[in-house]
Amino acid sequence: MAALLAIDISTGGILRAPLRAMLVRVSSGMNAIGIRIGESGYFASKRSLARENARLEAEIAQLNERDAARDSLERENEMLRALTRVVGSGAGISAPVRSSLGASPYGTFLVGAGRAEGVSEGNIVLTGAGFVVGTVAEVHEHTAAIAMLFAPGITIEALVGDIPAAVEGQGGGNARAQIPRAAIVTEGMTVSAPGYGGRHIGVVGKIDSDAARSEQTAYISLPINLSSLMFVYIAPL
Amino acid sequence: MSREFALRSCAFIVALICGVFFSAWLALCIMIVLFIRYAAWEALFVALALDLVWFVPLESGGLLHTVPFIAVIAAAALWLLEPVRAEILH
Repeated sequence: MAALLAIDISTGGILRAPLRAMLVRVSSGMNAIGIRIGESGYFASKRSLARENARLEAEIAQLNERDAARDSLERENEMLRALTRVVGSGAGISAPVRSSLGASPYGTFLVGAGRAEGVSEGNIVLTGAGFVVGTVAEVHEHTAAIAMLFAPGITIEALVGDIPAAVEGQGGGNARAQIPRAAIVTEGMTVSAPGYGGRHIGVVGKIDSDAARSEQTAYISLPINLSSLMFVYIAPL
Repeated sequence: MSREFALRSCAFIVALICGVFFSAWLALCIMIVLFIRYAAWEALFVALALDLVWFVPLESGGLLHTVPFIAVIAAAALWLLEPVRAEILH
């Protein structure tokens, strides 16, 4: 087993690449089968309830996302204009998410676009509203592995509002940051990362402040429901 | 087909599906439960497959992103649970 892992790592993914390609194909196939079963009417009542549920969840996620995006516009209009220029320039591509975003313990997921589609390592991965979800960590022919920004164990330098802080990833699109207690932080404040072109990476969801401590903890999350994320935008940094 | 073969095959498939589509942690739990009863070496291939799919070495990520720990934990559990298995079997 160790030998197989060593071979894979030393060859740059001789085993990984076909395995991930197979997983993406299986995932696409399962999606197609699921749609056909749904359309067949066999599970009509369950299907309509599930569809309604999914629609409402997606609507809530979309509203949250729009709300956070609007807040970002008001607070940092200049920065968002720069982001719009990048997205509007056509330099990036849209890619379908081809794996569960919660299955990996390493905070990674797969997308159905790779080298052939113009994806390269280090590209950033954005949601529709321009929040950075992660970066392209490994690229294969038609698939790519994305490392989420808020993966467990990852720490990035960010600005919570205007306050510099080290944001520690917790997995599942969540992170936390220790901020001096004297700093004014409010729920809904956007978090941006200078290392990612000043793009937004999340919003403050909750603040935990203790009078006995000199710091307060800001809990940060992406303003979207990760399970409803079906497409991402991949663009150069 | 023996009961043991059926159980181990079933656990292998369930762990693989869980690890790829739902949660690798759940797959790891299934493997560890299986190791308590059987020296199920085939489960190590599930762990290896999951690491090959999900593991991406990141320089800035600390220990979690430098070691393929699903395979390491599975191998360690298989070895460390040997006394427990011996106790159950005899």
